[in-house]
Amino acid sequence: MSDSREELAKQVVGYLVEIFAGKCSITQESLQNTPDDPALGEIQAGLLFLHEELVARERERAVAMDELQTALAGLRSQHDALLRSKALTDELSTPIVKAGNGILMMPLIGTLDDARSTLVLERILSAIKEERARFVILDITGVPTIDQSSARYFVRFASATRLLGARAMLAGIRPAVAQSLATLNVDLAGLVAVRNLEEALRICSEKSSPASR
Amino acid sequence: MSVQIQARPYGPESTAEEIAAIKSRMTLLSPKVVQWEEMPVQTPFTVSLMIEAMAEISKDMPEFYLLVDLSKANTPTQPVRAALVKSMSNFKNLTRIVCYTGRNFLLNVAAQFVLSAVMQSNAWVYKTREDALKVLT
Repeated sequence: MSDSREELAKQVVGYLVEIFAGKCSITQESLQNTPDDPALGEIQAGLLFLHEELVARERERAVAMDELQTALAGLRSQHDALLRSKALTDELSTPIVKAGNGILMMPLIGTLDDARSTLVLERILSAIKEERARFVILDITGVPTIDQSSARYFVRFASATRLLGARAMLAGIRPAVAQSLATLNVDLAGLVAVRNLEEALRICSEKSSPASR
Repeated sequence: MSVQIQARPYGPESTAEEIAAIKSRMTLLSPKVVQWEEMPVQTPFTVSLMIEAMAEISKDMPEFYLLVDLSKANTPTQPVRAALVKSMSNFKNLTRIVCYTGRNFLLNVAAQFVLSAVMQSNAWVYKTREDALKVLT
């Protein structure tokens, strides 16, 4: 390699190293002042434009990253709010009331789907353990319809309650629900069904009295 | 009375006459060739005006070529180069671009940067108008 080519290569590599480090000593002004070597001028101009492009892209990337972080923070905040809202909805959709000594009651209103039935079962079993309950009344006066899956949950509810040493009762079965339960292919033998909440409480009270023990 | 374009940056504060004068630098040279006489000092604003004028001229042309006269232009800044690339890429009927720079080596390089981003092929940079026109005939 001739001396001049070696010198040129050294200069170009020097500029590339600068650009790699995010700097560039070539400027539009310095280019205008060196018209004596057009070939070097073109190389320097190319390197300067490349550096300017990289800086602009880096700036755009930083702005995009900021926007992304802001959007992500907004999404996280929305997600947290949704989780809080869901927790509150779950709480409200499966309220457990202490209806007397060792008696728990859960009034249910609205449709029972798989998710809600699972939640009911989890919360009841947990409450039985915590409250050392002996009776659990599931008041389904407000449940308009029932499907096979929900009916199976009632059977599981009765079995699981029994395993924890308590007795389960279904109160307030509507005629339409009764019809569904009768026609669905589910063994309801383990379920104690009573007409309404009043009757359920009376039975609990009788079975809790010292005479019945 | 037509306004004389000066070698200074024009922005959104430009008068209606100045805007008309800037846009008039885009002309139809022949049925298929649009000529862009670049401003002495380009800004993203002047680029947007030229692009508007080019869109107006080429709207009914299924295909057109662009002849860009950079012989009296200064070297475009990075924001101008970015604006050029972004707006020119939208012309699907622009199939050929030829620039001539009048021996300004800085413009030669700047034009190659812009053209390579707008079009992978069918783009050329020449020093003289005569050489540039040969590609379009």
